[in-house]
Amino acid sequence: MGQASSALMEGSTLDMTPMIDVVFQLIIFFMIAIDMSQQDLEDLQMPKSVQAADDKDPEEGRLYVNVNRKGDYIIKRQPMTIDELEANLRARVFLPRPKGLPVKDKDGLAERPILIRADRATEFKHVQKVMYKCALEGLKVWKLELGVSQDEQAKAAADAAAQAK
Amino acid sequence: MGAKEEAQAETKMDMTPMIDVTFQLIIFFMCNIKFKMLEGKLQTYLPKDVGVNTTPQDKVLEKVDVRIIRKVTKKELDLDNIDRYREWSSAGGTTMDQVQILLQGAPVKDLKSLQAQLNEIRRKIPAPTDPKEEDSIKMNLEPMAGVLYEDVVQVVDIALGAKFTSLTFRGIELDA
Repeated sequence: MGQASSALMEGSTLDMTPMIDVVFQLIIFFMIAIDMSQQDLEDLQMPKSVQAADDKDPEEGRLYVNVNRKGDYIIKRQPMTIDELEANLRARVFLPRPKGLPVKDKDGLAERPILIRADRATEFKHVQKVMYKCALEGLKVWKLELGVSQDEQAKAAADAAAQAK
Repeated sequence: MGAKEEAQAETKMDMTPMIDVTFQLIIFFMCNIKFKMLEGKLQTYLPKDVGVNTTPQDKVLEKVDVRIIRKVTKKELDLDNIDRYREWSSAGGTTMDQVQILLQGAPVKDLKSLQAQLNEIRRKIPAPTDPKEEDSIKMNLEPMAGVLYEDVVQVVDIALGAKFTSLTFRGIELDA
């Protein structure tokens, strides 16, 4: 009687090893996924904007240029000079895009957009330098997006004021 | 023999706290992955016709020039503490003690005043109803040396709010 009860107890013990394995795999996955998804996004304090469009579904294959408040250009965590930035863009702007999206339009201009993310205290001339490089012959990127943070409160107030009118 | 069984029982580890912690970590990473993506963007376009003017001659264009000037010199500017250079009015706008804006060459009192004046221009020449149609008012933004990204975004924000969609930047001082 005693022996049978003990065997039953042993049989009901749950082996936690596979579950812990899976959980650790998930943790590693999320840690890597965070790093992969955020490596384009430098930690910058961007200015608030009321008119900003949501950036939930960015165009596939968009390039990111970060400009910190010292005026350093950073792509994928790699600081670079303005000339290195130009070389980097030239190497990447005309690469094939996912889902068969067009690389050039009929006039030979790059269809790939570039998001410029700058700190609120960055001198605007550094952003203008990126714009200048984008307009150069052989690059000709015309779709530029300026990164901002959304001022939800002000947007809600503006919408309410517009509705009241 | 009995003592050996007792020793084995004592070495069993309670996994519950570790599982709790790992699940907490998973939840943290899952939430964190979404937080940073909530950003906004201002859509802008560089002119496609660099060096060539393709605008039809018969189309009369109204030009609005906005010049942004920062009165604090670069040496005086502490980039880690830019808020101390501006005072926020009770109405939520910025007072123009450090940033000066010239609209058609004339100084603007504050951002609210800029908004009112742009709305007035827009009232006289309405925005095209079709978003694909070219706006007949061109706005030239000229940020001068020392102007910060935030100063420009504020003006662009007001311009977009007044339905000015054709914005161009002028005055690139690459060596400044």
